[in-house]
Amino acid sequence: MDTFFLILATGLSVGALYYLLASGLSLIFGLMDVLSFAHGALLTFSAYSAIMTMNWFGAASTGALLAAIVVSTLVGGAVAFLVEWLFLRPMYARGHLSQLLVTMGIGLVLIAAVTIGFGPDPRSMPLPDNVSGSIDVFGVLIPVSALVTVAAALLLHAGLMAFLRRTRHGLIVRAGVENADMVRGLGIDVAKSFAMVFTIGGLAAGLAGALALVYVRAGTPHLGDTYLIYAFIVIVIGGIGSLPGTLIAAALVGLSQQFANHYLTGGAGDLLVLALLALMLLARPQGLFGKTGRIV
Amino acid sequence: MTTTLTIRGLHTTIGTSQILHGLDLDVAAGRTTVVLGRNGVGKTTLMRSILGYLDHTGELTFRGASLAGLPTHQRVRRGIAYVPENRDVFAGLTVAENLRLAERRGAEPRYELVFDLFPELKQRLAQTAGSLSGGQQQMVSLARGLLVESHLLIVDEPTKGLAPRVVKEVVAVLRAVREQSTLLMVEQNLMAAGELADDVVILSEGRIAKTGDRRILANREELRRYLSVARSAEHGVD
Amino acid sequence: MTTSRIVKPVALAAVAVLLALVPYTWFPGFGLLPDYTGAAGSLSLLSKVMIMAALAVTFDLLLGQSGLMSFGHVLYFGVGAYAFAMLLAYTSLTFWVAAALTVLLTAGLSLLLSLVALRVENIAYSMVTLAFAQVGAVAVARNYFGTGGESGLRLPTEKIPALFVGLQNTPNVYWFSLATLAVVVTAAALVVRSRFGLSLRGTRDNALRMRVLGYNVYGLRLAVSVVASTLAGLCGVAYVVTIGGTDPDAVGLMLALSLIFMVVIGGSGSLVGAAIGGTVYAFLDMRLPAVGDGLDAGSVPPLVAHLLGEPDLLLGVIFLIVVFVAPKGIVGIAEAAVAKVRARRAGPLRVVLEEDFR
Repeated sequence: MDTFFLILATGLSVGALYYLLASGLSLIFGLMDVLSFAHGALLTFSAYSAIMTMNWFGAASTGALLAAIVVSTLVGGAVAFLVEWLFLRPMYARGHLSQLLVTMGIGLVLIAAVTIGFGPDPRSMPLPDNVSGSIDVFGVLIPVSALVTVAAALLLHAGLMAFLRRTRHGLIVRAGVENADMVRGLGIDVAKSFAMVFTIGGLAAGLAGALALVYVRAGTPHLGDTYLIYAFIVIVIGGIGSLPGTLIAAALVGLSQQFANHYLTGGAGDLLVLALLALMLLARPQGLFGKTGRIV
Repeated sequence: MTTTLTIRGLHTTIGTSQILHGLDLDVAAGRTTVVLGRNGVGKTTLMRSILGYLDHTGELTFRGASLAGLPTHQRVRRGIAYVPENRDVFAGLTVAENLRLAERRGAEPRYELVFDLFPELKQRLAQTAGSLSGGQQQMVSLARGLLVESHLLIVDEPTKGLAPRVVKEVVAVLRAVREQSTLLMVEQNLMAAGELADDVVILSEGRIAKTGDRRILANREELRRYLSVARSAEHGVD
Repeated sequence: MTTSRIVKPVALAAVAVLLALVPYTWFPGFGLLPDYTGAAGSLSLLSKVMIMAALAVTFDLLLGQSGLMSFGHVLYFGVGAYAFAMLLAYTSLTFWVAAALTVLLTAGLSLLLSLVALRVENIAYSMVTLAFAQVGAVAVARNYFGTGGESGLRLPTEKIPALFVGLQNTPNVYWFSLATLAVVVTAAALVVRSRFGLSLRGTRDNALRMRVLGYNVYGLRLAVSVVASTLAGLCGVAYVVTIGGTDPDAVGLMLALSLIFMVVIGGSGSLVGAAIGGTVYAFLDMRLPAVGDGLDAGSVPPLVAHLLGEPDLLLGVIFLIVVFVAPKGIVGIAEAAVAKVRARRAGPLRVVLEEDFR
């Protein structure tokens, strides 16, 4: 029974990491049709800043971990902001292919920077004891790291939904996901909203970077690659541009993966996720919540 | 007579096909100019070029200043309002949200005027625009275009695909609007065009084929034949 | 057009003959090659380059000819390589039987996956194909089905025909790769020049119009996907022969994305362009690290040597440079190709469909 709950917790926290990456990507894509391949590298890059912060503090205290999470989040946001401003903005007038190549190029450079700075081998993330342990929740031992990760994803979701529903910028983003041209036709500079959304996506990726380390406990230059791929799968299953869909799909994918890998055989989880994706495309090509344009 | 918009030598290419071939047009201030033409001659392309959605060459002068190089949102801020061909309401947003998007800093939103023209919208503010009928969506789209005062209102086929009763409503609204605003519109419904036009422009193959005042519309039968014969012929080719 | 129908094949045949003669030559490598042209090291490198060129050509059938931006094309290359290597390593099938079976397997897998992936269009299609390929990559990297994990799979020497084994037989391996390239280019050219190829370009330029005209767009895309994937599977087989096994890079994200780079840099929509792009990429990928290593301490600052030794960094920078500095080199070439095809087919039709406005 304990194993069941443990895997439940792991599945949910993996799903939470997928959501952290997928939510931003989904908005970015929904608004500007830009599929960012840089976000996996952004996660990795930020994660290393978290490791550096921990090492700078020396002792693996809770305070140091919190600082590392904040630093990682900010680094992700800052890099995303710069990338959008310097590299992506000049590409809007061009096609998807150019934007794609730019994000790919940025991704390669970021990963190379990490490799040059820290080497190709895993770097361990020192964690305070109270986070690497488990706590008793209604008689079941649940890893603290899982709770932290899931809580972060839920908070981000609540924050994003509030942003989208309650602010004018959010309104512009929702309208822009439906029809960016018409938003421009109302005198609104969509590019500005996009810069903001891209930066938000970067912040979320940075947060994911630190939390991924809490979960896997070591960083490698390709840490973000796998998360990026599953984030893409989550977006398609959830319906492009739909955050609630993304949230549910993220949990579904994380859980299927972990349960199948544990109860069936190693690797079965990945195939199951693929089967889920295929089923979804056959039954509902627009995704769980995908209705053209709906995002909330 | 002053002109609000002057177009000289407008060339527009979409992908690899050139749609507009050096088009010249004057839109007179305070009047309603109706653009007619067969399907595919570039009416919508003309509207979208003026708004800066499409890359184009040539001079566009709006109220004495060049629009060259300005992106769409800045052209709109100069005072061009746009009601597009397919209404393009934000289907997932409520009517109120659709209207709120049309608000602009430094300009007073004219909600009273809009609700006077479209009393029905006031009752449906909380409804999503996607759940409205075609006619109601057209009203949302027009309301968005009218919410903030503009110097030129561009309306692309406002009666397209609407039931005759709804066409009458839309025309009635536009009759009220034309009293206060300069209008440039595409309208293939000759009855509607006849009720609204001061000036008439006929496009052919990306150029102006004929310009004149509303008397061009007098011979409705011949015009209808000109527009519809071409329509069926073009659908047959490839 | 009629002249190019004859001139091009003749020119390509001449290039093939010249390439076939390379093992008999002994020109200096000028840093591009590790050794003189006829040396084993050079031939082995050129074999890999030709396979990459062939792979890029197969991808051009999708991206360039049909407008299908698949991020998962690398999967069929990887499946070709891994299925072939595993059939040889774990069964008693002979070399040629295993090769034939592998190609069939790739075709079958491609049919199955494309049936699903083509249900969606545009970027969703890209993501789905990427997902398929990446699950393949994960399966390989984690050693799920005896794939050998991170270290790849070495072929048992006794399973390879003697004519491909050993340093002295490198020319044979080289010719095998050249033959693969020739087969792939010929097959792809036949597709491009056929009515089928014309219809594909039609779906690329305006899928809606093709549907209105009664074409089965889904069927056309399915067909070209299977053809391109099968040819990619063949490239995978040749890859195994060249390196005597497989490695996880053959299904990696890096290669998946690099394929797009290859086709784009060479000029999307042109088979020869794709082959050139594949060649350029393969040289960059394999020779950049060597250039970094070759610079002795002292001749350049250590940091520069260090940076040069990091091929991903240079590739990334080259991606960016190509997009920023040579936009015509990317988009321009592609558009010129589109214009050519369109002009050929345009005829009297001037109606612009709704889709063009969106």
